[in-house]
Amino acid sequence: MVNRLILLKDTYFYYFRNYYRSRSFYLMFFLSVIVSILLIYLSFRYLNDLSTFATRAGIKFLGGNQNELLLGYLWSFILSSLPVFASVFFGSPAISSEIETKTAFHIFTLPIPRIILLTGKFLASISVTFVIVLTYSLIEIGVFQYLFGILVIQLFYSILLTFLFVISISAVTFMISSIFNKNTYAYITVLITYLLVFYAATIIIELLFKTVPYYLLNQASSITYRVFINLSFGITLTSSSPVPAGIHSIISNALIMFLYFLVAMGITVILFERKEVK
Amino acid sequence: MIEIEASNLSKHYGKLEALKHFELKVNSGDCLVILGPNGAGKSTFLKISTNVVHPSSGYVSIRGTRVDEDPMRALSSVGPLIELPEFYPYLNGVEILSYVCKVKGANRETVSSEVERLTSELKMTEFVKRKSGQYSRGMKQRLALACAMAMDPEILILDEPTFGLDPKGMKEFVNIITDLNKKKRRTVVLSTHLISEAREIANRVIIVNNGEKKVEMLNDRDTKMMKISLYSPGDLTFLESENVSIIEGKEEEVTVKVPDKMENDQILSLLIKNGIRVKWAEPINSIEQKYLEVVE
Repeated sequence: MVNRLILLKDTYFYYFRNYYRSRSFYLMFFLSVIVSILLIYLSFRYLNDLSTFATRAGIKFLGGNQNELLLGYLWSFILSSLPVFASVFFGSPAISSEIETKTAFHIFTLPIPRIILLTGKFLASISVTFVIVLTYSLIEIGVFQYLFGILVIQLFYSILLTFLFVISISAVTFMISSIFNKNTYAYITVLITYLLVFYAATIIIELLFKTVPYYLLNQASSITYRVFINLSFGITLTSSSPVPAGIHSIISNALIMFLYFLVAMGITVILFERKEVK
Repeated sequence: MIEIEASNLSKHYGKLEALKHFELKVNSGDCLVILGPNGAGKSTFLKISTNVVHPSSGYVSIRGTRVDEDPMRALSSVGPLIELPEFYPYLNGVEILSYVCKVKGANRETVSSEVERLTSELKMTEFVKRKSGQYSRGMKQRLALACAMAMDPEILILDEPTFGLDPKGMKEFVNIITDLNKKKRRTVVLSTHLISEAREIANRVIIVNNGEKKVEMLNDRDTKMMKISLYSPGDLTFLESENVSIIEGKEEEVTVKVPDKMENDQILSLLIKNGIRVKWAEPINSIEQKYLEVVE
């Protein structure tokens, strides 16, 4: 057991070094900083106009810390896209590239269980995504501290839920990547699944059954910004409420994301164990 | 002691049978070379032996442990080099070798000394600290061999280790492998399609074709043979009186075994003296002879 943990630690750092030195990481990091700068500008320039914008969008506020919640909603709405793109950058080629670039000949032949290789790589992949999310979140916290002097608890819920979303979407991406032997197919499938399939399914289910498909990952992940204001932009806007999502909603959505992680990782382990390089 | 055993090993890729009921035993200290044309099944056997590919039926065991059942234990005494492996491009040679050493059981102290030994033995000092993404093919091949040799494994499984190297690099690799086998008594299983390489390294050769083992033979390095092409078939029985035996004769083409003390040009003189018109003649070895028989 101790030996396996040491192997996992070595494998984790092996992959982490390769990830954080990659161009993908720096590109992603750079883009997230650019987005942060744009939001800093928005926060300082339009803070007093936020309630007007909200009214124009048909949201009636009850007052109180409405500006902070609305600004938190905007920052977190953007933040929720980061894990999606980070998982495309780091997760899509995670397994398929081992086959396509033939690094599998190097790692599959080592006396190390494949589950440790997979776990080490998965942890490394989510770690670099955490670095990006954390940088963005620290900037967000800094801006809120400066503007409001006090930080609402929703800010921390949102960041923690985003970390959970990183874990679940990375697992789904690893699963898709383990199906393919070519990176391009993995990239395309991940993007189509998340940006088309999930959203198409949401719209169809909303239209046909007049209910929000809360069990889809894109819906569950919306909790990362719904902790500020419980607004979810579907075709019928069925779940709209200008108050923060309740604790029950937070827990149930967190569980759904965790379930996605468990199922996706389970399938990935099975596929990775059977993977071969012709 | 049997180090590697393949029993009734088969592998299908869809309808293609890459290996058919393949049987093999490799003894401790052997240097077994697997020869065969492209697509013969030699790489498939080595990939199954190193857990890169799973068998459709049968198994490979290494030191009594089946690779498909307990790959971690089976591969613990193996240094593998399969095809030309790629490495993670943002890691340098030292980091890659350190990781391989750690996985093979090295502790903190041994890792650096082992990396130093491998770097110097494989002449990688100049480039080992560069990121592997910047390596040339030859550099990658050196790093791959270094990974295989890390922690001095008892068995080396090498799939075309000299492929893509320049002649100097090939010679160096052959010398390293020969030293490992002869001086350190390491068991080597190596695939190649170069007969000269097999002749230089092997003590035993198997020739595979169409997924089947066709020939298994000892490498008789000292036997001199010659292939002679004649303008017209003639009576060559006079050669036997000079202790030159005819191994194979196909009308205008014959293969003869040359006695140790006789030079090749003496054979030619003998033929000409007896009125045989020689179109061309070339020295060959027994491996080449068998290989051509199998492939043709």
